Amino acid sequence: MTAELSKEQADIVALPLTPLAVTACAGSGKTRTAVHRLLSMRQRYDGPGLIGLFSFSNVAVDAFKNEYARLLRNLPAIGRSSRVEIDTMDGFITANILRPHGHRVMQCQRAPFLVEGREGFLNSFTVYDGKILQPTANIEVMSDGTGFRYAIGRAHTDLPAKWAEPALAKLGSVGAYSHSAGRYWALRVLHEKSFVLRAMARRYPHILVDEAQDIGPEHQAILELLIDAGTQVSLIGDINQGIYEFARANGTFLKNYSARSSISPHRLTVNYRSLPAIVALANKLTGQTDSANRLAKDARPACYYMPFRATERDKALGSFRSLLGAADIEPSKGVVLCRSSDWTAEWSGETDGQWAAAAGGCRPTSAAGSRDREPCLTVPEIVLDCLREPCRSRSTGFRLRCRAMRIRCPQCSR
Amino acid sequence: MDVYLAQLRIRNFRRIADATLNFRPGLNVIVGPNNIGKTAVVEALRALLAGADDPYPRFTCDDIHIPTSGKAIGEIRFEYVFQGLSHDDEAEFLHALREGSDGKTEAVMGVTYGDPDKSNRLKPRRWCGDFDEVSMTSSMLENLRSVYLQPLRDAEQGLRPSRNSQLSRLLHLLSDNEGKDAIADALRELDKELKKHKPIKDTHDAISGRHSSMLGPNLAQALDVGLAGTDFGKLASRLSIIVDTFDIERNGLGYNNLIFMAVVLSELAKNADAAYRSLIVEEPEAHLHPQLQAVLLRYLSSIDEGEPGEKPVQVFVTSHSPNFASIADLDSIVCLLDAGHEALAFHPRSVEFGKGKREKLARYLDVTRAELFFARRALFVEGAAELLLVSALAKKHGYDLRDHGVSLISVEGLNFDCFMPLFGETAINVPVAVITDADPTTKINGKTVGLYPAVGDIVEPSNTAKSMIKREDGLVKVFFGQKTFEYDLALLQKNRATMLAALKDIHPNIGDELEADVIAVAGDQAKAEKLFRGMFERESVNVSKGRFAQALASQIQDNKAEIEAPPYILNAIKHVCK
Repeated sequence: MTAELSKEQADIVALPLTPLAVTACAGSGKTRTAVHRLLSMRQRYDGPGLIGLFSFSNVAVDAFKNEYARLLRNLPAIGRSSRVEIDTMDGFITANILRPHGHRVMQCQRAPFLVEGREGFLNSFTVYDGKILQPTANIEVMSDGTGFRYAIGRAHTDLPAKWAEPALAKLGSVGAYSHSAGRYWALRVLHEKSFVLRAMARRYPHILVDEAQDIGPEHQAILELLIDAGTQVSLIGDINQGIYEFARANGTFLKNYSARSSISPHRLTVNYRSLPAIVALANKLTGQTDSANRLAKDARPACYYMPFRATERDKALGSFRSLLGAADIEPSKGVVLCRSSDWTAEWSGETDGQWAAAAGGCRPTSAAGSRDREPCLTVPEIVLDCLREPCRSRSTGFRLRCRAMRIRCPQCSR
Repeated sequence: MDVYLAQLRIRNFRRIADATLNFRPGLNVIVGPNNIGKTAVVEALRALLAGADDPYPRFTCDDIHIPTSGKAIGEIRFEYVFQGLSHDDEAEFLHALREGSDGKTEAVMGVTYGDPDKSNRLKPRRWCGDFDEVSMTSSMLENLRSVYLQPLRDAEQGLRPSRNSQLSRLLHLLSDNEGKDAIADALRELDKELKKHKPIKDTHDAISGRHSSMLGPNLAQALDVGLAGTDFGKLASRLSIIVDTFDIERNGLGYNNLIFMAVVLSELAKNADAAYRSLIVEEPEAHLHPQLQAVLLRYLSSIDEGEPGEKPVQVFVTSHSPNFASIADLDSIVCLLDAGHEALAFHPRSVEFGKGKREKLARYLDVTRAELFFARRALFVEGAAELLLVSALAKKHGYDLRDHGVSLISVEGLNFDCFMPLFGETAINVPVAVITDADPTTKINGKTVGLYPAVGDIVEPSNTAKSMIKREDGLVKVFFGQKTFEYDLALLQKNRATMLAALKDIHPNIGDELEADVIAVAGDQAKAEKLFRGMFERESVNVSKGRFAQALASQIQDNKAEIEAPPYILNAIKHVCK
């Protein structure tokens, strides 16, 4: 079973059952390593409870589940253990804290439920931000683990606790919570109902978090509470691949985790997906020393930097198409990766109904969803990666992206 | 302590509108008269605790409770509260967890049956925690292991060798890989040894010789005569239990039930995987002689302690055998009561007794096997004399206690306060009459002396009687006369001749003597006092109340002698025969 792993990967799988921090570069076989590690932990851990593997997108979770099921199928029936739980971080929190125990702090008479923000009944739940009434569901709750701060609106204006908390409580009393408030209530359950935290830590003696660079401060606070209560948490990710910075997930947890005395740090440094030229460029931009496993077929460059004007979308796409043609890649296998969903909508022609013509057969996809389309991305090694700076106030700046790797924009140097 | 089912609440199910049964670790005996809902309780338990062998019970619209208003509506709902959770149990039952009033955690689970399909079958929903909305996980259900033994179970069937027999499962459970290999080796050895014996060799040669001559050397198959299957699994499915060197089929049904229970309990108790284990036994008295019932009960009540290396098993037993109920620990009993149109639960262990009374009652029940928990109406009397005569008196006045389902119970010198807390509107809710002595006294020169009141005198009852009166409610009534049973009988002119005839029967001399004395005085009071004191307050040896009661009963029943019940006795009879 471990034959499908490289030495570097197999070494991590075989490590003792202690908390790890694994920094894994792009294309390093993170999913495979994580699932093998999960299976290996399950086989070696004989105690009660479940081993959790949590990630941040449903697609990643499905991939993990399929891969784990595949590994189990190859094992003899006896000694097989399905006592693992693979879910998203939020799914884990919802199933174990919010649904069964959220009402203990929300004071509602039913199992709490998630609201998206557009539900009609939310009209009667508002909060005063000092100037106007805002929807309570838009309150953004932040925690660094010691307390809560609140913000609201597009400008993330600070909202005093004396206004935010009663509003959250009122919405909570009918059982409703937004994504952000869900983490607030989950943290409060763990803080105020010690039996829930105790049972959680006992239920999940080992937790493995994939894409750990995407752990935001509130998720971190929840994990820290579990760690204090006895759960052994391992993180696997790449701080250079963060895509949830807008959710304040900037990879600091992962970065600092390996420095803790109780944590053993490890690295996966071989990229099995990208051509050497791309890895070399990525190394240059991120300061890493990762190596590529693939060999380049010819001397053709693999990376292009191509500024363009916002009005010249079709021209940029035309250039991309010709690059694909030169590299012998079918246009339908090309991917246009966009930073925001607005940007994706515009480039896919949703706004003017012409995406097929505009994109020339390539499929635009947003960065946050890029992991959801992994098969599309593995074939072409050339990705047109012109992304608008996400910060709206500086919308003139462009940022070059190679896959989801963070690269400084040569123009605005941010 | 290990996790146990502490409470079961049944709502809207058959005869039960809403009843809460409390259980304790170890043995719980659910008692009640026929048709009260004991099986409903078993089904409610099985709705969550179905075992490996039997599926979850299914219900239809007909199982929904029909209230007095006459129309069945809503869902059937069972709620279960588990207590005694270890930290590992808390982790397993995380979604079901809540904090009890004592700060300890408990796990709440529920099964709701509703939403009938076209064939009226109700769909079950298994949920946990404070709301119905959170579903139970399959892992939770797997952690609740249970075995259900039906009444009149065919124990032989369960013990007969088969791949999935109870015995085979137990053998698998208790074997590790080394053990299994060793057995397989032993079997192979045995097979080899057997093949050396002449009869087997001859058989083999005979068959294979004919076989090869029939088919010719090319088509003939390799034949072998030996033990079929020398692996462990095959052995496990073929092992059987031999009782006193006889096959199990030749053993009695009662004994086989006990053997079956032993095998089942072993499998449960040795299974360390599940967080909770239970055994549900319906009417174990079915095949068992009262003595074996006692043996079984004693064993069942000890298994919550568990043997080293074994896990405790919570046991639920239903019974309508007064014998079984009276030998069970009072604390383990849950009574199902008939409350008119519905059934309710009552827990004797929740009753507050005076100091030492509970123990006295337990000893009394153990010896007398009284049918306290099954009484539909109860008439308590003080001793053997009343026990013999009250029923005869009732008949004279046209009441047949048996026809009215009245349990006539003698407390045999025990104070009534051992029994009375069990009865009343908030306890066992049946009509209860307590017949006691007034025993009025007065003080003369600082000395307490008994009084002999006349009919119609206002009587101040003894302190004991007064404390009993305090316990009266709509169902429990205390009845007393002017003094004591025999004195009150003697106050009635009609009775004295019969009483004297009975006395003459056992003590001719005393009888003649007293007859003269009674004639010599005037008035009912004086005659009654003479007669009473002449028998029971003599200077030398008193007449035995028991012997006298036997003689009097014989006068009434055999000689059809005249008798009339004193008013308080008649009132007591009327109260329970209402």
